[in-house]
Amino acid sequence: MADQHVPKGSRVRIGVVDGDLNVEKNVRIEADGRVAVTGRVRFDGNAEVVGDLECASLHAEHASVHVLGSLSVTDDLDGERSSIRIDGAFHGKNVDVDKELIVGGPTIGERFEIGGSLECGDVLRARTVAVGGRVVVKGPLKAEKLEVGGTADLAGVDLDELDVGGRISLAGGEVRRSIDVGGVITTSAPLAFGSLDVGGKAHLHAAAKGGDVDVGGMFEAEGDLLFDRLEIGGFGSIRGSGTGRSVEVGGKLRLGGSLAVQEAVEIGGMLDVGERLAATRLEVGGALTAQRVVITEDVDIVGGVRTNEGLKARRIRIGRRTKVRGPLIGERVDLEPDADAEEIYGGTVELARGARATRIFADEVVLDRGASVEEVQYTRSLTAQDPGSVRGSGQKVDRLPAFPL
Amino acid sequence: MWDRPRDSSGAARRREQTDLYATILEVAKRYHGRARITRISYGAGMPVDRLRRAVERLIALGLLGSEESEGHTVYGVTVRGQEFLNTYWRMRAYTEAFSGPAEPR
Repeated sequence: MADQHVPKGSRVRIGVVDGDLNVEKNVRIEADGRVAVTGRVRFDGNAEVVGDLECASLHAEHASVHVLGSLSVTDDLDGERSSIRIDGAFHGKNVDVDKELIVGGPTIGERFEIGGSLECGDVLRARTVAVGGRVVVKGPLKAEKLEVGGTADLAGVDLDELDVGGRISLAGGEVRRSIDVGGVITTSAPLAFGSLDVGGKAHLHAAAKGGDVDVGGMFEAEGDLLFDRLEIGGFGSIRGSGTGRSVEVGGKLRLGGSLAVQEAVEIGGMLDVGERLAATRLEVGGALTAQRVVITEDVDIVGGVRTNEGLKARRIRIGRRTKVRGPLIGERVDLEPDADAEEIYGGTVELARGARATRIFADEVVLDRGASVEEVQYTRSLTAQDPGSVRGSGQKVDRLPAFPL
Repeated sequence: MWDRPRDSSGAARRREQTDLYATILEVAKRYHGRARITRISYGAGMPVDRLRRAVERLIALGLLGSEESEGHTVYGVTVRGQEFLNTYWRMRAYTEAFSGPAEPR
């Protein structure tokens, strides 16, 4: 074993070192073939290595180390208050750098912990990657977990977990368990995920599929979305179609295509579906617009309804002063005071005080005081508080016309 | 190390106090209660002297906690700090939406 010492300000040519290599500041080392150190390399200040460097471990302190080749470290790379720049490839095990790590080529290791920023010009493969500030990976990224405090700019990913504090932009890929983003996520290619939790805004430029989606602020999807539970605090927009288990939106949700949900759809504001809406339950605080709506259980709408083909459910409650355009079809349909509907097809239809309908086709019809309808066909009973409630014909029939939907 | 906050048009805007606090908390959060001041400094892109003042304020507000570990003071985000972050990001999204040309399509 013969350790080697390089004094400050020197320019040396080194090949194989059988032992440790201790390097003082402002040193330039030229590789004699390659610099191969069997022990530890220690940099106590700025240094440049021209060529490839191999060592058992590397420790830099208050240093800016530039390797103009590749760096291979068998065990640990430790950069205390230091920056490490590698033009070629990096291969190591545990990497702990305070300031920044910049690698031009493929980067392979087990654990990366970087205080400031990490930049990889090529593929990055690791078990865990944690970066306090910013990470940029231009090639594919494969790891179990990536944690970033600030921003991330990634190409395709193959991860189990992704946790970003600020903003992330990624091309797409797969995150098998959770994506947790404090601020903003933007994708440009299809993304598969276990769950997606975003505090601010999610903008998915391509199709996405996964489990629960929870977005505090705004959600925009340019393609189709497949989900389990979709919860949006503010506004949601899906250009394609949405398919999932349940939907809950505080503000407005708009879809260019259809929305098919196994359980409930609950919208605080407006729901605008370009094509068809299907769910078990539907609650809309504002207005509903769709081509056709088929709900297997209850519908409760307060603000307004506009459909081309109709709204069908087991039980429909239309709120006070709500205007409905398009037919309503239900086992039970209730129009609350001063609501206004066109055709209603049902088992039992009840219009509260001041509510209006154009035509009702039902087994039983109940018209409260001040309620009115132009035409009624019924099979069992018609109960009207005011004699003039039925403006046109009120006819008892043996069979009602075929219901739409 | 952090990108500057952006307005609805995507243009960078000056970091305000709340942006700085959120930046510090998000960086500290990644260290799971063992963030050292230098690591937060590199992550948040702030000099240590300025960072110390902000950290003291965050501790006084109950958004950041501190303890001694192996001769160093380490910091972690409190439950209240996480609540602040949730509110901050949600409000940022709303602010961008409201100041934009129209609601999302």
